[in-house]
Amino acid sequence: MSHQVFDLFLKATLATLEMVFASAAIAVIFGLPLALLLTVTAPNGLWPSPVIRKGLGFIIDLTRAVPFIILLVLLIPFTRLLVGTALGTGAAIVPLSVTAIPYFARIAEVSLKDVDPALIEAIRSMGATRLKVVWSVLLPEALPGLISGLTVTVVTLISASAMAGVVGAGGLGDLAIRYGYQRFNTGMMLWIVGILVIITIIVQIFGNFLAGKLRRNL
Amino acid sequence: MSFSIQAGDIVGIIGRSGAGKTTLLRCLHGAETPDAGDVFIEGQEIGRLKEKELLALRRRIGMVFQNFNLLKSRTVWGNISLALEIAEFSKSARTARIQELIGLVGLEGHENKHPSQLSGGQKQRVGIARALATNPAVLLCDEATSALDPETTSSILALLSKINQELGITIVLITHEMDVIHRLARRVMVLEQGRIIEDSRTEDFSGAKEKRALTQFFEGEEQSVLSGKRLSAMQSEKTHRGLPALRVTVAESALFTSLIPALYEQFSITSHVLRVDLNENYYDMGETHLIILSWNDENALNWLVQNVEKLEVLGYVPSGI
Repeated sequence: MSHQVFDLFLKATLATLEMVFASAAIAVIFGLPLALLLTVTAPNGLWPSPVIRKGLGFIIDLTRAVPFIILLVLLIPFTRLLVGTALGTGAAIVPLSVTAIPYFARIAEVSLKDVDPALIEAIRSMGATRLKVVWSVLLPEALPGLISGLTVTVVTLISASAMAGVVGAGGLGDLAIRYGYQRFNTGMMLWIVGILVIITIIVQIFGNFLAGKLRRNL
Repeated sequence: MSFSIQAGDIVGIIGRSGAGKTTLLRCLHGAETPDAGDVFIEGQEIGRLKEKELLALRRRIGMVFQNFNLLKSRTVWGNISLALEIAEFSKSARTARIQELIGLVGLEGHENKHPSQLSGGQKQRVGIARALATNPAVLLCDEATSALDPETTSSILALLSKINQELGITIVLITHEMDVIHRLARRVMVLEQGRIIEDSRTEDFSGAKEKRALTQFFEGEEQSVLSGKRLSAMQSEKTHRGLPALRVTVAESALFTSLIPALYEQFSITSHVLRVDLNENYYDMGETHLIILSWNDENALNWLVQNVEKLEVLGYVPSGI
């Protein structure tokens, strides 16, 4: 592999990682509170509210129903408003986040709902405020599940980020289209697939390790 | 229903599932508001408390649960600490108090273990330590020993008794195990369909009203020994018309406890336990129970013969009783 090609790969890999991890972080920052909101507003939750739960659920499901490739184009004006441009790695983070937030929210919701309601009631009966229950019971007890959910989200983001090449986002997907497909460079295509597979495997192994370590106590 | 509990007493509330035990308990710590009536704890009327006052009151009530309800993500230390965090103890006050509690319940050396590394009995000790953390006036135990084996049950009951004597805490036990009542409670209340059908000191307690009606059939009989006259009267009832009265001997109480649900599951037979001779064994080994089956079924009797140490058919009680 020549120096230039290696440089190309390195840049593309870094761009992919930047897109994936930035949007994963945003997915947690916005998705986790949404998941909490969905959980605590459930009928047997801490603040039951069918209006909030159903409304929120509707918006989340609506966003998840739009295919990513369409969302990518649909969000161009919004992206331009937010980051000033609709092109490049930074711009791709916007649609990736928009897709990852509801995705992670739904996965995290499942983990949070898995926390034994009897345990929550028990801690409430000890005189804990609802916020204390969220902070000291709900989140720590659901943590291994949340980590597993985040791993799944990151893996999904890796494959989605490859599509972001369409809006000139750079990254490995972009490289695969421009060199592998448009220039019939099969060797390069295989390299890119290999790198994507390796990143995915590393993320999965690390996520499993972390969740497993936490779960050992359960 | 209306009752009051004296400070420092140990009260056992017994009843079948669905009798209202749990609802009563929930009313006692304000998780549920009674449809009618008031609950007073230390002179405070629960229904009138504001959210904040209710939370403060709950911190004066210790709760012990059947399934322990410990946080899996926290260690023994962390679980006890949670009760103190809720009550807003300072960090140094927490440390001192947790050390004291761990000594009280006998968990020295287990501080850094997670609940998954503990036995059922140890988990319940953590539960008790957590319930006692804030120096509550009352300890409410909801089937606290129902998930434990007989030996562990004994040690937990001994711990509760020690706590009552040393700290003078009022204990309210909710259970379906008669044995637990006999061994720990000083006063017993029998709950049925949301009503207290009996309320007496444990030594005067004879059993629920329904059982008492059946017991009257055996009037004058001491323990599970029946007089010849009564026996012959019973035996004259034709086999298929009466309900079989049995004397069952089992090696240990746990076997008997599993017998009754098994009878129900396999043969749809409910059983009335009339007398339990825990202290005075009729035979050399185990304990003896006098029971009446709700249905006369030969298969059930054959099954019982195979599963108990000794089975005697005393006779048949007229089914109209």
